[in-house]
Amino acid sequence: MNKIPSALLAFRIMAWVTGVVLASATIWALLGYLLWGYADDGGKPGLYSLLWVAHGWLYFAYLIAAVNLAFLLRFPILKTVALLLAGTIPFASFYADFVMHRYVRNLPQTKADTSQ
Amino acid sequence: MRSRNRYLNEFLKPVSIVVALLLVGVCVLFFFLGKWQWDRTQNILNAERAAAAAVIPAPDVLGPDLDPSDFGRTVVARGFYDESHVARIGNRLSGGGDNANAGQWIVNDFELDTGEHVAVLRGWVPSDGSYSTPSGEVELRAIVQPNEAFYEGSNQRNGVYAVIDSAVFSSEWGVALSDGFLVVESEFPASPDAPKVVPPTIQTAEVAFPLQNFFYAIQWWIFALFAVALYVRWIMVSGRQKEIR
Repeated sequence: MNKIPSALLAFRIMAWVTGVVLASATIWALLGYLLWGYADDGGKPGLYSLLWVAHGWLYFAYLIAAVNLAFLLRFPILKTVALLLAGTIPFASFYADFVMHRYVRNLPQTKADTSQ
Repeated sequence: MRSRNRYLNEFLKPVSIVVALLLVGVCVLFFFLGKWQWDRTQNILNAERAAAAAVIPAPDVLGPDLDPSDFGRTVVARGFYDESHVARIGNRLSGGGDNANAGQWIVNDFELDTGEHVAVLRGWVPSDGSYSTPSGEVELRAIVQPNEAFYEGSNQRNGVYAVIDSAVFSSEWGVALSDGFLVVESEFPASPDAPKVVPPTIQTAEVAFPLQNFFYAIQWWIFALFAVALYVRWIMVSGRQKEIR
């Protein structure tokens, strides 16, 4: 049984969800600190903090999905670590999603699977 | 036996040892990052509690809408009691258990020297009992409480009220009272025959919990555990692949 397509789907979903939350939180932080005075104590709204907390937990789900995929694809450790770190850098997870999607699509094994 | 050797061999490879050393470094780093967020959580809580416990001037918190985070705060208020604006709250006990005495609470209109009015619960007296009210300027040390209005509608019977509701007293006395009321802790100068001071219903002011720092602390520690799990699985997978080859 080929587990790679479902692992890729889980990773792609998590890459997008984590990526969108991280990108929104980053843009919000930039606007907040530059324009809305978030550097002052107590200036931040509750939803802003909640978004960062949400990213922390979503990133954990991203880690599990990414590790699962990396092991199925037999990635070396450095490549795995790079994939994991992509969830912490704003907008990097979108690129990781693009790269992984292309990588899996070009695998001879998956090609054979989809042609069946 | 063979499989144990296989994993041991994998673990003793130079690259595995380098990764293991990096792993230890990452775990130490993540532990201290987590501890840093944990300490920040405690510091923020302590600072918030200290701020909430500090005695502040009553005009800073009083107004048409009390902030729920101010419930239970200790304030100082300077001003005068208006003896013509008094409400008795019926069916209130003093003390507890078998020693409880039935009686009433005395709520008085208090005009602060800033001109604001607030309902002040001075304390307990026996039913229809007498008490004295200071006529000159008084300084109160009191605790902020929300209105007792649990239900709608009139709560007055024969001049005795059921609950403390500043909105009802406002219309009754014709003054704009602050939201909520104050429970007297002490009056200065103390009057000789003052009502017996009662404990406030809400004892402590609530402080906002720094959820973000708290979760970050836990997440750093989970990430450290995750890194260890990742390493162990990597050793096992590499060992297994060796055998397949």
